[in-house]
Amino acid sequence: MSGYFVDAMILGSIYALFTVGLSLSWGILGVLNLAHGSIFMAGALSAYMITSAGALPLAVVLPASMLVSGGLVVLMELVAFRPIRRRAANPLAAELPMAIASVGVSSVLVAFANNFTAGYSLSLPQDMFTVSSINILGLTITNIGALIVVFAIGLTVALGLYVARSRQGRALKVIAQDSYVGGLLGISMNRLALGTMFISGALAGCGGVLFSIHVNSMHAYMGEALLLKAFAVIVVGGIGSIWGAAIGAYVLAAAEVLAVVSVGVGMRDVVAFVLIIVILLARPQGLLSKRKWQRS
Amino acid sequence: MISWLAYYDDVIGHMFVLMILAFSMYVVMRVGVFSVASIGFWAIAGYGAAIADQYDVPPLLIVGGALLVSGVFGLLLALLAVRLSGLSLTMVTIAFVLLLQVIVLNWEDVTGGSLGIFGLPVHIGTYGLLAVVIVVAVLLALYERGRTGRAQDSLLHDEQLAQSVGIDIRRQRIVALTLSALLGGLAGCLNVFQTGMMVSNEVGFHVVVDALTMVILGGTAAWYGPVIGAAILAWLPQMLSFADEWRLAVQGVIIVVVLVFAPQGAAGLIQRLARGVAAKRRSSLLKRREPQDVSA
Amino acid sequence: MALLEVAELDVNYGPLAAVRGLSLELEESQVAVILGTNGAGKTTTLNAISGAVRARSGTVSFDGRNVTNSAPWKISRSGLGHVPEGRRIVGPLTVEENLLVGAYNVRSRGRRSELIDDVFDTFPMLAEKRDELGGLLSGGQQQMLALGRALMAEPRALLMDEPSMGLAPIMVQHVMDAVQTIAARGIAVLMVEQNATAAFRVATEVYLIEHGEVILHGPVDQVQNSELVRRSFLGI
Repeated sequence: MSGYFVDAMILGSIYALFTVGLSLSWGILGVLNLAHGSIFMAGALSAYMITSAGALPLAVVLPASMLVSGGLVVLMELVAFRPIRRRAANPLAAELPMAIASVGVSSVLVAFANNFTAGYSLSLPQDMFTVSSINILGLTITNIGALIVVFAIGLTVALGLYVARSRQGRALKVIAQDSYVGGLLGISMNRLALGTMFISGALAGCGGVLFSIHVNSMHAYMGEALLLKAFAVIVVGGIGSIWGAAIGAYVLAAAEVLAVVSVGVGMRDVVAFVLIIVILLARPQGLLSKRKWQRS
Repeated sequence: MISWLAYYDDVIGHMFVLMILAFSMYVVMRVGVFSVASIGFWAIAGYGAAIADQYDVPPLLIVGGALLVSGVFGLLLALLAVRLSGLSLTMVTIAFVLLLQVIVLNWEDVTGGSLGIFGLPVHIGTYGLLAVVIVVAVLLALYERGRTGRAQDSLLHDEQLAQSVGIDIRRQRIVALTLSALLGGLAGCLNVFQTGMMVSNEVGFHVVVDALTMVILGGTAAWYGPVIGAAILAWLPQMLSFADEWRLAVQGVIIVVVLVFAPQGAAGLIQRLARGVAAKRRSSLLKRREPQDVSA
Repeated sequence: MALLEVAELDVNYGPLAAVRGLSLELEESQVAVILGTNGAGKTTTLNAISGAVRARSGTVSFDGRNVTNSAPWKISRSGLGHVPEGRRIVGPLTVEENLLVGAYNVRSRGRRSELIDDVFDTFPMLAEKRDELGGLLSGGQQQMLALGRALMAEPRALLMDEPSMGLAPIMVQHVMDAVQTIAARGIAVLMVEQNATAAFRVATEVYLIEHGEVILHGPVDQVQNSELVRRSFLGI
């Protein structure tokens, strides 16, 4: 029983690391970044490339990979999203072209990874991080599993507090509601977009590296399946909500583990889709989102 | 000429299949919706056709069945999807494709898993496909000139305006999504009839990229947009013979570059050129007439 | 040299000219009002001044610097605030948070809370609503909040787009009093209004625009008596 709990915690943590950034860029900037899965993969791939140049510990490789994946999304913002936003008649008109452009970028990243890996699965070197079992509060968990949970909760809480409390966090909320008024108040959407995009990419990259150590494998399409999960998480948590994404991630993971235990492995990937459809049918605005600030 | 046609028969036939898939993407894009559901119906109809073919079901019956199934599921998906706005709708269609991918890979007894279904008879040749394309193109062109088509034009330009002049956007989108499903199903079915096989790749990421390349490159300004897009995509491998493994990357770059620099695509550019020529001719006519007016 | 100078401003929406060759000046501590009917180009003029809409030609200079077509956030930072049409309060943020957002470019936390206290002193109505969500305020309260939010950036001049729009007569009075209070602090105000009677109580200069062009300009006491203004805006 406790094994299932540990599984769900690790799975949920990966979902959280993956989804928080995706939800944030969607909610605040209207960017549905469909390359997010490829960015997750790029994090893992860059870790592989860095370690193949020389033996380095995870403490060095992880930040470096997060820098790479964050930098890639910043590059997307500069090369694709910003020019599209500038040309669009209004912020809403930019949303669809930006989403389509992200598929284009994803395609480039996948092609690169496919060529680099020659279509095979790779694993990160053992000397970067040695996986072993540890015991915490009576639960048996691998050290990488524990690290995933710690990183997911730590980074999500830190980001959530930052957005809730800081000057920039408040500005993000303004941009999300009304980018026109943001400009009039002296808020530079372009600058905030760069920051948001970097954080979004870095979190995904972090997830990618840790996940590829956890399952001891990485390949060009490893992020694609996560996109379906992330959509379910966002639908549960509400678009743009950090806390919502975190809660949604663990809810989905728990539901998946439960489905596997009670029905069978085949059900695992169907859960997410069913959640999406059922919630959208019942509450198109998302399960946890509220609209109490609107005057009737 | 004859030998050239014979040599490239497969490419030309595939080009026609792609044109129908591009039409399927095009009809939804025209109403301001980014949906990849076309690829889902392409896959459902493709597998349906391949499986039925194994049991020697008559080809015409298979096409009928594919259209029926795509139409019904397309309508159901449309009814769910129109409750959502913009990116949420996109998300649901992507989730739909990702789910199909999972099902295809895991339901090996029926779909053949990652290998797919091979060695089916070829039911349709290049001329048959050409005939289908012509019929579809003519119907679309007529539809565009009709009342509903014009309604979609105004929809493309300004959603609020369309609503204010009494155009029912919901109904328009349901019609477009269902039509798109029908065309996607038709294309998927013909694809199997032309190639004699259905492989799991046909549900994958690269078909999404293919479909987007066609519709973005060709543009959605008029029915000949997807024709141009499909023609270019079909010949891309011949043009890029040096780097087949980089094809995805090239297509990704094409998508981003076109979206940033020429968002209306080829059809938009052609329309603008035509309009420019017409305006010039009109102004030169006016100039020529001027002296007559003076003498009178 | 005037604090804000607009010269020969042209703005187009596609093929349509919204503003044509418009020039105006706003002196330090002056209150000027732009009068005009719906669609005359008033809002477009303000948006072009603050960089939210691209000017096709012409210049906007503020405080001696050319800011034509600069990014809105840069213009805002240079001390030219803009209270937009329809207030545009950020609904899910509280009154206090809305005010804090106004001071986005004030880096010091201490200075921000001084500014907030100052706004609450000036508009006590907002102090009572401190923790309420901006979206739940009444139209008049939202207008006060929008003014307070603009003050948080410590501007030298403010553009105001129809502050009286959609408000009950008593609220219009309150808002105009607030505008007067702001002007009394030495902040120059360029206000767009349709309610000429209310605007004339606080303004000293009037620009009358039609089809994107200034057709009449002068001090309030002169313009007030012009046949055109009396007939179109004062209902006499």
